[in-house]
Amino acid sequence: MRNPFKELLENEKLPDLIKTKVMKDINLINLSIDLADLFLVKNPDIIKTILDDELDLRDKKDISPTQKNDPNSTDNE
Amino acid sequence: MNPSKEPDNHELQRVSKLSDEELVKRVVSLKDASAYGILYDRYAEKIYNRSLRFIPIREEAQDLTHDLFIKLYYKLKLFQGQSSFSTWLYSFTYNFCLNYLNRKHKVKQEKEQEFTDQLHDAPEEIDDTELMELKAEKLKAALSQLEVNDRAILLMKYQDEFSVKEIAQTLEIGESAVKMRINRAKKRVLEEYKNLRQ
Repeated sequence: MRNPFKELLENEKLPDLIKTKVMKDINLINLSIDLADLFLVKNPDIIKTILDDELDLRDKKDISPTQKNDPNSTDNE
Repeated sequence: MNPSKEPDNHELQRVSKLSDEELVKRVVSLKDASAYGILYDRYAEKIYNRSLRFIPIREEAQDLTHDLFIKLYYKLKLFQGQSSFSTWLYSFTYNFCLNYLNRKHKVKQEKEQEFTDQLHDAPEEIDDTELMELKAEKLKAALSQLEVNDRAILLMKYQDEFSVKEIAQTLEIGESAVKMRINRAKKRVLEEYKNLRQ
């Protein structure tokens, strides 16, 4: 059965410039997502890990030296 | 000689042979821009030509195609594979064009339209054979006289061969409302067509 609606289909060419613009924007979006991920997700995790390590180290230092088995101190005596 | 260049080309060739659905998965999971570029190559002109039916100014239709592909990048994850990717993409395109025109010309919103659907009596059922006998050139002119929502529903039904269910999902309205709107749009296009003859 003939369909005049199908005959209306056009075949206009889209300039290549549009693809260049789209791909440039997509790469920019990907970069923004990666940067946001780096600074908002990964970096805070890294900072948290560093701070936790720092606190652990401080806790260890706070323990009195007599409670520690420091081989150097016995050597000095 | 750059040894890393060769595998890239092989990879690109392999990716270019993937189906639409596989490319979508790749874009969503890996944010693979080259896979998105392949989807663009497959569909950009089809989308551009569809948008030209609503926005006859070439430069404006080109800008709309660009904006659509940017929005599509974010929305690809919503593709569930319930229909073919092309049907889903054309549905997305119709919605994008209608929203653009509604924003631009402040055409009646869908909700208001749905309300008026309930108010108006259903027009007499029009047989498809009457539409199929129309001349393409005049039909094009008659379609351009229609309100965008009527034009869109006719193009979805008769050009892209969407089912009533697919149109209902695209426009987010009920199937009975779709049938009513198709019939009303058919009546209007025939009226416009007859007016052109005079």
